[in-house]
Amino acid sequence: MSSKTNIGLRYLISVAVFPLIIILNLMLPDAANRPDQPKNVLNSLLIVYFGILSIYVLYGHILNKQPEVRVQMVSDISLIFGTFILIWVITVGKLGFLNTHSFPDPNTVFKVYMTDFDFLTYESSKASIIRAFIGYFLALATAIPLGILAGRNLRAFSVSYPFSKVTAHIPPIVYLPYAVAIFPSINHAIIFIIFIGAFWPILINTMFGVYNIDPKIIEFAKILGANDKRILAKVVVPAAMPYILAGSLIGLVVSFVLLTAGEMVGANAGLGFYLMYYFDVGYFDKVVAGILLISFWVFFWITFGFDLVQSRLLRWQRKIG
Amino acid sequence: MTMIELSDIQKIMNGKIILDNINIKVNQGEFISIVGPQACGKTSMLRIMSGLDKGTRGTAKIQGKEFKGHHPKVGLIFQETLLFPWLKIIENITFGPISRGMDKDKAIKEANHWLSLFGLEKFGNKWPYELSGGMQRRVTIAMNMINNPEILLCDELLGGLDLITRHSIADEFLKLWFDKRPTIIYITHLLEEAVYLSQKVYLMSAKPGKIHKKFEIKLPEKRWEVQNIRFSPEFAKYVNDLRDEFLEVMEIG
Repeated sequence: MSSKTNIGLRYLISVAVFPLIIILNLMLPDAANRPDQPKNVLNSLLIVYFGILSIYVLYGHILNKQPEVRVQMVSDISLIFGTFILIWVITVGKLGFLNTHSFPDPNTVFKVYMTDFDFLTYESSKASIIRAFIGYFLALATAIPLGILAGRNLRAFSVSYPFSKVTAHIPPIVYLPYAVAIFPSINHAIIFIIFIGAFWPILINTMFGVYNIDPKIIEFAKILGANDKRILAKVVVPAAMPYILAGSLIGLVVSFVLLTAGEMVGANAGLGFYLMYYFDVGYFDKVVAGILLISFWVFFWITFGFDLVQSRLLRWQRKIG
Repeated sequence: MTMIELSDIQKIMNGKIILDNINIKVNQGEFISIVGPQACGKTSMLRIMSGLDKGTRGTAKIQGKEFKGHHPKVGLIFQETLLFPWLKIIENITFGPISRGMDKDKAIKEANHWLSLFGLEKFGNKWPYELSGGMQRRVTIAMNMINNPEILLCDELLGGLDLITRHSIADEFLKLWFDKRPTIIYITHLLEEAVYLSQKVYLMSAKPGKIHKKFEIKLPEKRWEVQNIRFSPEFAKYVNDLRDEFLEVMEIG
């Protein structure tokens, strides 16, 4: 019982750091060298996060509806995240450390999401996400079937393996200038490099996943009476699924890396473009806001897109922890 | 009537003779066991019987006909418990019938019948990892038996289980054989298990794998009804004879 209370206290600290930031943000005066900034955007975001986190911890810890490990993980991460914002608010915003121009304070940065709502938060995000997903889904749609084919066929495997070893390790960004030249627009070129970048990790993992399936399990399916089509759907694909998903996750991360890199080179919309545009004119608050938004989207799609799909597809695996 | 017959089978793998001069005839409805030292080619022989492999020489016949590839009347239980871990228990059991074109509802009905036969009614909706080793073995049996195989090949069906579970699955399996009368070829390294289950025990010798000797086990068929049969003098004698010969074979190897 007492150990449980202690854990509760630890959770409380990780939750409480957020109201603490809000109070300090409101109470302490901004540093003299920083122009006064409205604090509502940062504070609102913190309140929302505080609310979600409190419900999560309450639901998980007090009502025992979530695995302890996961509640612990979420509150640990929140504590680190909260401490980072706290230090940022106090040192930069309130005490006025660091150069005002290159190191904007959090209130200035978060204000950008409101003042630039159309351009940054909505349009740029939309343009980037659409691009990333077209490239990524094209890669999924081609790499998974090809990987299954190559993994099932020894001859195809022996050809694709050495071939993929060379091609997969060419940094996809090097194709960009050439892609810009041959594709009708920069947009197509970026989608193409995202496709190439995500394609290889998905292909290689799928190929290995299929190749490494225990032949006995396929023989067993055959003996039970399954034809090739059924074996493919009910045995090969699910057996290789952990590998396919591992490759798809790498592919997803690579997609975002290439997306922003490509957009910074020459797009006329998207988060990378936004970043580069304001870097050129020297608005670092907007640059930092853009960086944070990109990390948010990567986090969002991995946690609320990929992880959910993964836990659904692999629910047959014994959970660890 | 001869159900399955191997004549003059030789199997060479990587330049090594795995099986040599294998002649074996199993009658319909018989339960035979094959025992032998490690790496004597028991599993290779079973794979030839299942049609998964072919002998380098010799012929394999089912009901007097040579066969190529897997024969639909043959069921096979592999050494490792093989369930499809990504299918629920009920889907595992219906896998065979649905693959063979049975209607899904009918297959589920039959699968439920098999589950209740093994006392696993409550586990149909579970994942394989949620079941104990013994339960998984029972599911593997059901996955095969639901297809009504005329020949069932088993490789170490009860390996790696504790004694109590082994004995109770052995009894269930024997009853099943008695009811449905498939021809069963059973590989094991446990002599006592071979004697308890089968009517004939073939002892193999290693390097190369050959059939060394055949033992006829003349115990009542309904062995689960005889109290303490495992402790009876006849039983002990069969096991002892088998063990003596086994030790001799080991020395040759």
